[in-house]
Amino acid sequence: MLNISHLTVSYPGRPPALDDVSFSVSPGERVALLGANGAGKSTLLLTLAGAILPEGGAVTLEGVTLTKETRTQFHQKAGMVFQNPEDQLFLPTVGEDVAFGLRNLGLPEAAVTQRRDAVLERLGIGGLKDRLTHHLSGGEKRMAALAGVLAMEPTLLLLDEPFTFLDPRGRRRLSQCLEALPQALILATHDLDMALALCDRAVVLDGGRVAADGPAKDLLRDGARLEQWGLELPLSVRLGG
Amino acid sequence: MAQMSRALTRMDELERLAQGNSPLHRLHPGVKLGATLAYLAAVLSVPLLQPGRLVGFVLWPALLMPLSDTPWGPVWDRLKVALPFGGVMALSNLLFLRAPVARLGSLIVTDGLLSCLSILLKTGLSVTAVLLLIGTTGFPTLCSQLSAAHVPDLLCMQMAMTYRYLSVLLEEAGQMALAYRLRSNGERSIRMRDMGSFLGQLLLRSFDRAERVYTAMTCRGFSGRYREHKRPMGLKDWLLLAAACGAVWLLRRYDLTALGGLLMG
Repeated sequence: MLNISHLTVSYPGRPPALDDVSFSVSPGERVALLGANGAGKSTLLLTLAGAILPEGGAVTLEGVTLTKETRTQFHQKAGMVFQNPEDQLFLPTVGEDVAFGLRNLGLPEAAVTQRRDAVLERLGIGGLKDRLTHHLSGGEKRMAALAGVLAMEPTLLLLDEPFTFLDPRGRRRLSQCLEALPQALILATHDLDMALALCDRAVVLDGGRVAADGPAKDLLRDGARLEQWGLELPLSVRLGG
Repeated sequence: MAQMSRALTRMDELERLAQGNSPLHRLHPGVKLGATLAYLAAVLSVPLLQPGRLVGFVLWPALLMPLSDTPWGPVWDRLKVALPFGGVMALSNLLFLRAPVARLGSLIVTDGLLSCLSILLKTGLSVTAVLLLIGTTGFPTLCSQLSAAHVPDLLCMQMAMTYRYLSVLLEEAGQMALAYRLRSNGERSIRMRDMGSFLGQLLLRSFDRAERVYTAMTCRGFSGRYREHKRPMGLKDWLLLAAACGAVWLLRRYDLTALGGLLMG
């Protein structure tokens, strides 16, 4: 479904943020994207969402290769939930914000309303529809941001540190929501316990390159290699889980 | 920090008011926009030397504010900001135009006094009407309606984004001011020698934040035009707009104070 081949991305005046990155993701697969700060996780997600164009290599999603001309298709097919939901919620109410992407798809208003209400109900936040986004709690903002992306029915969901700013109950709720989603999912996170719980596979980035790609349960138990990549064993593994 | 929070709360207040469900809120935004523009044109067209003819226009906010459940407090707070701007111009008229035009007992009424009153009334009425429009419609919807009325998209987007990023800027400034105060050993405000770097950092941070917001928007298909559901104006809406414009015309046409023999005659 998603194929990344020799992908290179650079920011002006800096070494490549992504250097010769290659891996694939199958439909419905859940992949944890791991790495220390500055490893290139967010840049990779932004590229997959079509917000950044590759400098070298190729990204192909459902047969469409990412170019300047096709990036709008990527916006629809690959939905990105940003690290800070404040960046994503910019309309006054949750309902309007969730409808924003749908209207950009050019859907008729009846379909916009139906899809918006359906996704809000599915995530259990139907009651927030008319609430001002400024007044939501951190967990509610996160769920509203997720709703705005899911409403567009992407086939690939990109999540950048989705568990930050959340209390344990919010983390559990979000984790349950993500588990129930049928979409393929790439989860960039420092929360290795959540990565282990949610994902079967992990891709580790180190200095913009793929350092490892394999089953999450194996990679996340290898303390020596994790330390080498600037990561730590998940708490559940350290406690002998 | 407290000032930033207050400013944010004020911005928020109008959006909260716009979520209401009064008969005025339920009107088509085009009706409200058209009627407000007609009202503004009528108010601004009243000659400066006839302030009495503006008194009738007070009926507009006096009737519509209770009808829309808009409290006077937030409107008055914003009027306090706008009135001094009109006040400066009004004061200069008062000082420089001194030709007597009437006498009320021992008081000589000059053309400066009349135009001063006119300017203050016009400022107050116009700002109140615009606030009433935003408070019953919401700024994003208003921008969208302006776009539907063939105001250039670029201008509408700029207005909508400026409004959005103003709150982003205030949030950033609030956080920075708090962080500064917590490490400034009891200083209540930012020292002048730190102000340059504070403002520089604020600019960089808000620029960064604005870029992230914009990226998030493009990732959801935004292509430079904010699309909102635009219900076309039906016959009922056009009739309402015509009625509102008719009411404005009556206010403009007939001098209520003269009719009542109240002020200028």
